[in-house]
Amino acid sequence: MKQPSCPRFRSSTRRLNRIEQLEPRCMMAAEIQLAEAGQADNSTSLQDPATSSEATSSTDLVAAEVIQQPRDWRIDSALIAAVVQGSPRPASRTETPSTFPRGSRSPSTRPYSMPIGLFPDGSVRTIHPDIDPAVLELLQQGGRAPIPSTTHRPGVGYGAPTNTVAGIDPRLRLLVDMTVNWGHGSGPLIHSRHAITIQPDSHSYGAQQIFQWLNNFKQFSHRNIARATLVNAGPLDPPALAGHRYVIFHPRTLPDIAANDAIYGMLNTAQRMANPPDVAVRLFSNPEEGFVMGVTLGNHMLVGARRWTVTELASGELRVETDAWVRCNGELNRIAMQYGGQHMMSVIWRRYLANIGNASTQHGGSWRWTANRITVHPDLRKNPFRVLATRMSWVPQLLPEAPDYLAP
Amino acid sequence: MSYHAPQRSSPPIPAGSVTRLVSVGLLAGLTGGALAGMLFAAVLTTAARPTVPQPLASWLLQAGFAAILAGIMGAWAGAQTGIVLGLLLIICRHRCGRLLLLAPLFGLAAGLLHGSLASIDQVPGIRPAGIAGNIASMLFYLAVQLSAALSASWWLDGSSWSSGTAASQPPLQLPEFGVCERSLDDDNQ
Repeated sequence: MKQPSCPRFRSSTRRLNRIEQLEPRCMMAAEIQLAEAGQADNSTSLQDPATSSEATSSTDLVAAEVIQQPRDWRIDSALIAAVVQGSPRPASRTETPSTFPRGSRSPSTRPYSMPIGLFPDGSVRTIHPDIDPAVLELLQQGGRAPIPSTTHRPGVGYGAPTNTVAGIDPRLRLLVDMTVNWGHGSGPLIHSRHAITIQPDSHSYGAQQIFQWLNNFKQFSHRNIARATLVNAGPLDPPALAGHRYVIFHPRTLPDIAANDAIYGMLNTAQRMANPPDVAVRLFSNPEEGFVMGVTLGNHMLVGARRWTVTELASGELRVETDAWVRCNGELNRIAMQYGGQHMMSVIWRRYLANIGNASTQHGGSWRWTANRITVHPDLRKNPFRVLATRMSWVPQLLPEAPDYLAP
Repeated sequence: MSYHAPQRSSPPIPAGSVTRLVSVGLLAGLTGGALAGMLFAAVLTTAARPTVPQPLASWLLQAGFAAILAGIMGAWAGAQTGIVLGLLLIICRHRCGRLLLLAPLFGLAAGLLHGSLASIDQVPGIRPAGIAGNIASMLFYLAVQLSAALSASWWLDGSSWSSGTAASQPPLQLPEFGVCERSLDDDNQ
């Protein structure tokens, strides 16, 4: 078979046989588009002579392949993002609205295997992926930390170390490549606002702790009709992924929901006919202003952004509020929003705020509702959160990483 | 000579009958509510013209999805009414005929209650495009609860209906208690 003369195509053909089924389709689409547009940038070529010679001169060829694969994936991710951002946006006014939600599929909340590694004492043990960075640093200083080149997740990336992109949690790897779904909205804009006011006393938690809760969604799942799973890069993951934070929401269906919430379980089960079991949101936080913002990704049933804020009022009280400007992703979700969906959305965020209120006042103090409102704005076209979300949605660049564990 | 007040001890209600009454009430209310909810959604989606021309299959999918969601909400609300009607039948025992005549009123009251709860966002409601406020939710729950109450009363005691169709199905056998029939004289004998 005649090989294409372009080194990028040669590289892709080789890679497609090796890398798992995660990105080939996206890579091929991006590369074809790039080839057609004639925008292939030689500076991002995979066949960098210096890098290639360095890799091939290494004694550990397997490890070099392991490095090369994530590097290829990383560059392709950047290319895909460039292609997506550079492609002409479809004219939404003349386009027929889609029946089903559009966008890439979110990864499942199913947990993957824990990282294991070889320790200096010769033992092979598991390491919690969310190990505290300070603890890991102390272990490294004491010479008792796992050897980085041996730390890997079994079954992930052909045993690639966790500090390479190939060795990270596959959920995170998929989430990094997901794009926001601003262009898939249908139906009117919906504004949702819920707020509580906490009257603290000397024993209740302060704004800093509440901001932490908002940041890690720890109070979300308790007695709620959906559960949230935070996916972020830990200290074992490559530094290039630091700052990537995502939440995967899983609406609870009938077997997974409390008996007194049966109606919500039934409605959640019905909406599964149109939506995936898990939907993802990319998180950004602003500790200075005390808010966290989430932007919907891929085939999330909503299109827009939600903000969670904790503010200290002049009276000494704390206000915790969440507001969102969203549209629906697909016509079926527009129907679902009219037939019970607004109430479901309201219940989810009311229970989340109630959980925060209860948790913050469990040792003293009290809280009360301040706002519960969902309004439909059929005349509004531009999402008021879009500018803020775009400004906030800085995604850290995946820079080339050095093969540090191969260095002498 | 001391007078001992007669003990009007009620015989225990057969457990099977209670379960049966409640189950039948639940099923009847659920069916009636679901059918009314689906019909309501079908009428609404048919009346609401799509703003953008769409393929027929897409519109049918949307209408079907709306009917399913409305049917679920109707079944949930109707089942509650059916259960309450079944329990009322057990409590009121031999006055069931008169009670079932009040079923439409009971359905209207339950519909108003559910509609009010939906308007303050305590239960799921429907807010179709083009209809302002909570009118649709109120009408939806009125229709659903009325249908559920009538359906439950039909199933629980078909003989109380004047139409001849009910006669073809044997009415449910209520437990024979006889407590209300016993007089003070009977106890003294």
